[in-house]
Amino acid sequence: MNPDTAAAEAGLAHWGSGLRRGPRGPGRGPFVLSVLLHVLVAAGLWVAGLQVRHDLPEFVQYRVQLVSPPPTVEGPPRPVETTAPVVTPPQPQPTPTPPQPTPTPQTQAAQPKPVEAKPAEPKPAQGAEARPAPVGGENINIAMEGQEFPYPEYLQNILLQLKRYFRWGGAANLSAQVVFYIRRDGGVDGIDVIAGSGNFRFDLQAIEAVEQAGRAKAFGPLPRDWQGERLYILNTFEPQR
Amino acid sequence: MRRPLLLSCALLLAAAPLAAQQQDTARPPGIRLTTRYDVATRTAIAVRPFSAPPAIAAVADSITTILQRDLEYSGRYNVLPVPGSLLSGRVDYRQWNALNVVYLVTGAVSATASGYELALTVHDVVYGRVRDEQTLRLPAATSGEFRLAVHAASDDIVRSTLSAPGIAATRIAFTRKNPRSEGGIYTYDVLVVDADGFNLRRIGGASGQIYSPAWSPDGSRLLYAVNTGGGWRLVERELAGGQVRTIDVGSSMVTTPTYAPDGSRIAFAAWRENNWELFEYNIAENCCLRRLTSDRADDISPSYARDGSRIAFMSSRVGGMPHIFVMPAQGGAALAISPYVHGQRGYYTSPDLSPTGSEVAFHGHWNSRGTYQIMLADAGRPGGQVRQITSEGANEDPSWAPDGRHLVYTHAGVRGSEPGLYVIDTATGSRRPLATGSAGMRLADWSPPLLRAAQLR
Repeated sequence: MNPDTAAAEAGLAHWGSGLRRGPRGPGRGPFVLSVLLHVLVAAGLWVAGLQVRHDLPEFVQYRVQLVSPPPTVEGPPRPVETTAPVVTPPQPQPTPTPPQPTPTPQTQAAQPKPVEAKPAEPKPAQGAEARPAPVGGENINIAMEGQEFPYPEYLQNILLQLKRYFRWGGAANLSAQVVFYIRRDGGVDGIDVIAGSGNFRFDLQAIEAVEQAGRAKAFGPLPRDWQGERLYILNTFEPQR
Repeated sequence: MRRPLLLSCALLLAAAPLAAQQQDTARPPGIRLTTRYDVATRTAIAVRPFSAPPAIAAVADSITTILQRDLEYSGRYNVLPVPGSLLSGRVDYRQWNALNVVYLVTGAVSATASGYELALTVHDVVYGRVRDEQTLRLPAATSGEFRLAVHAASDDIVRSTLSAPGIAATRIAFTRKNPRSEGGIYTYDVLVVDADGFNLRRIGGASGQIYSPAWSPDGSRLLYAVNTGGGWRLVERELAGGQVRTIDVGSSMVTTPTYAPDGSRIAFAAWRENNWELFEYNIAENCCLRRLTSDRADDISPSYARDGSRIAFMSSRVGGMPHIFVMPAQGGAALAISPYVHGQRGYYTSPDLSPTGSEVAFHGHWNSRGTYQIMLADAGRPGGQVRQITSEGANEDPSWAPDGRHLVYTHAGVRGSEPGLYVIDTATGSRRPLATGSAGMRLADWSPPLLRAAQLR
């Protein structure tokens, strides 16, 4: 046996026997201290967790009806433009065409002229102070059941703005829950992902959407009669392609 | 000393929920919302009329209109009208934002020696910044490729704003049976039309039947079956030069050809031992004919999956009625995709596998009393749900657009709609006529993208 190995085994035997004997092991002082420290850390984390969770109010789902006008090209088939292509008359061929081993010149039928319809008539000027156009035209048809919210327009605008600010061109079927609150002046704070999608870029984009909408004060100031200085929102971002 | 420490910990743990509870009672509840972005969402976009010197103002108008229409036809945007006060001048994001516009497209057209230069800018109105900026070279308006170049610019807007594929710079090939016969023989044409319904033109014809035109994956050739009396043969036509060659696959009865995604092989049906069987042929090297199916039923209309690993096809191997099957591309065990209900004489044919996923489009009817309708099924889930997406009149021969979202198909005409080719958005169900006026227009095949904006820079 290698003298070093023998020494190591002997040492192990030594420590082993020593541990079994008890009096040679570490005393109770460090053990209790370790337990206490663990309890303290666990308690601290629990309290911190409680603070995070209980910092948020109870979330209630309110009723939302956001219906946009139908898209312009919906419905039964109809001519889209006055210059719709017309099928060219048949091009009779003088004799039956045998199998064509060599290239043959092609006959071009008369082509419909690509005359473009004029752009839509411009609408009256709206100017810098114009109010936002009515919601719609984006196929945003949302019907969420829930309690009646006293300010339904405010809720609808939040949904609309979140849709406008959120940009995602990646994988579908992701879902992230983001919590934030709107201050009385319309600013946004307390943005946090409380249930991530598992895709870091997606979660970041969701945060970015809320942050940018808040920076632009796109949600608007809280309704005047709203009781409280903050309105907490828990939004689930769910792109489906 | 240990006891007071433990006690303080316990007090702390007990006090926290109490404090939180008290805090809760004083606060109004929060709001739970869900913003779902489904495929039917249309993003608000505006295209401001492109500026140009007076001499080419009409061209700039034309480019603007083509772009607006392309974006609308993509099914992904709500193209908003431009207010008179915003038709020109510096882009003020606040004003556009007030109109709920998400993206704004502006541009300037200038004349060059060979055509035009289009300086195109895509603005992200919501974020108040330029999203994409590029200068594209367009051919002269009299050129046959002018519209295609503008379509390529449209597709690039779809890509840069929504990271989605556009389908504007594509074309649809189809056959047309002409209404008058010559000595009892009907003539057939092969026609091609741009995806927006313009630029319809005849590229070939025969005194006899022409079936199943199919685009090569690079969009440079068309392959189709011709019968001028002596049987069916395969013909491949170069679109640029017009050269035509017959593909000799050792059979005088061949039909429903299609290219594999890499363009090196073709699959088709040929008559063998008193029924139609599927074969594969190496078209790049003119060799290596291989039989893919071998049974007593008819197997026709092969369609490759986007990765070339599978083939969807029609077979009458179940009860003698046509059904849609999927099998490995080299042949082998086939799984039924179309619904089979014992006792119902369902009829399903003309499958086309999606270029972006595993959906198969086909036409058929659920029982012997029905009319043909367009249906969708998942090739990855045999026996799964089948979705019928048309209901009025008879609708046949679907072909996918390269975005895997739109389909072109033949509509037999019904009250209020003319017969011809129509395009349907499978995400929203909205549809539009592509080329109408003749009941003889059939067997459409949608091309791959034929031009990209990068080729115009």
